[in-house]
Formats: sequence, C-alpha cells, structure tokens
Amino acid sequence: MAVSFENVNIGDEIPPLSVNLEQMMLWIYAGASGDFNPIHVDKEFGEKVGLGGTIAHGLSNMARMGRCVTDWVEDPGALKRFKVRFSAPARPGDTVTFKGKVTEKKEEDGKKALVLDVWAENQDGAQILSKGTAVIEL
Amino acid sequence: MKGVLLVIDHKFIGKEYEPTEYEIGREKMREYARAVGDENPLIMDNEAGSASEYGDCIAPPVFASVYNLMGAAQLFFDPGVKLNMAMLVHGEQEFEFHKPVRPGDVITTTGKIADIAEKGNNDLLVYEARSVNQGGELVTVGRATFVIRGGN
Repeated sequence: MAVSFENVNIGDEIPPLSVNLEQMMLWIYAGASGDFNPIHVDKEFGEKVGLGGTIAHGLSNMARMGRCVTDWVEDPGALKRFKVRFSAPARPGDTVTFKGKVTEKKEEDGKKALVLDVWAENQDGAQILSKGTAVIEL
Repeated sequence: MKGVLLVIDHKFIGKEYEPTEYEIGREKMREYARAVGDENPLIMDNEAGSASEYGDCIAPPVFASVYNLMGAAQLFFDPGVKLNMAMLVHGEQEFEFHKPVRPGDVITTTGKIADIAEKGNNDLLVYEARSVNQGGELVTVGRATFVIRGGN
C-alpha cells in the first residue's frame, strides 16, 4: 500500500533494505555506470593501493539508499533532494543495511513533503553512508 | 606541514567546464536500475510508465550519477587545477531533482567549481553541475564534494 502523507508520523522508520555485496555486483555496476576505476573491479589493485581489496562504488551505495526511500513511496520520481556523505567503504562480503527515519513533515504551496534522515551501515555497525537527507514529495 | 603553494588556488572558484550531452536510453537506464536492484514498474514497465503522471518510464533518480557527473572528468584532468588524483576521494554527493528524466531526453550538463576550502589537513572542492533537458527545463543539480586527503 502506498504511503500517504497523513499516515506518516515524525520519528517513523522506513522499511530497511539489506544487501549482501558480492564482487559480481561491483562488476555489474561498473558496466552499468561506466565507472571501471580499478579500485572497484581489480582485487589485486585494491590490495596494492592499501584498500585491502576492492570497494563498492560510493554512488552505488547512494543509489541503493535512494531505492530504499523510493521503494517505500513506490515512486522513483518522488525524490526531490538527496544528500549523503560517503563515510566508509563497503566491500564484497559485507552486508549493508540502508535505513531512514522521518524527521519533518512540510506543506508548502500545496505540496506535501517528507524530510528523512538516511544512512547505511555494515554488519559491524560501521556507517557506510552518514549525514544523509532525503526529501520526498507526495 | 604543507606549504601554501600546495593548497588549490582559490582563483579557480567559479571556473566553468565545457557542457556535456547525454541521451537517456531506455535499456541503459534499466541496466543501471537492475545493477542496484531497483525494479520499480515506473522504471521497468512501459505500460506502467505510460499510465503514470510522467507519461513514460522514468530513470532511477541516482542515474544522475551518470549524466550529471560525466563532465567532472574535465576537472580531474584539468592541467591548471592539477588535482592530486591519487589522494582524491568522493566525500559527499547531493542531488536536487527538479523533473524526472525519461528515455529519449537529451540532457545537457554544465559543471563548475563552486567552492574550494581547506579543512584540517584536507582540501575540499565542490563541483556543481546543472543538467537541463532538450526543452531547456532544469532537471537535476548535482553537488559533489571531493576531498584531497593531506591537501593537494
């Protein structure tokens, strides 16, 4: 059932999205985005430059964060502003969980908007995305 | 300690780069959506897209990371600014989505250096890119904060 402005309360958490990252997903994202930086696709290169292997594209983490929000409202066009900080890398083998919480409800010029804090953390609780904000218009 | 000369010269604030053009492909945007597991019918299903307020399928919002950020390569290889790419990381990203993009849209994006700052031992550079569609409508504004660890 689609989310309605009236039924959402400040403090509500949206359904989290958990993703088990595999190297194949990084290769697929590289092809889809055109970003073949070796730190994402070449394990030996990632080790050589001190990353301990490959790391996921930051923007793929952001895209999954966006999906978590737009899945909730069932409309990818509802997202109007979106900001994240890339605070730690996510790696193949990690389980990354994307989360969001409603912090504000706004009505301006006949438009109804929800403001959310959004973030992502790995299986150890380390923040992958932090200080994120998403604004959705319903 | 870093010397004053190692800091990115603030005279580059406001520097604008050549516009880039990108045509949104229906299957390309879906390939991106699938890569991040986004199977929303408004992206994937032509009938659902046509019946929606958008009149066609729309791209997943963060597909902007492809068309809105492609011009940043000019900044990365700018021989004047001389960014230390080995120490550069993407610190933050912000998008304003003004209008969804649809297959067939031709998106023209103009990027510029919006800000340069020093924070602790790091240099920060904000790259702002404005994307308009073939009708001249603003679709997306992106702001990427790049961090040069240890200063440039």
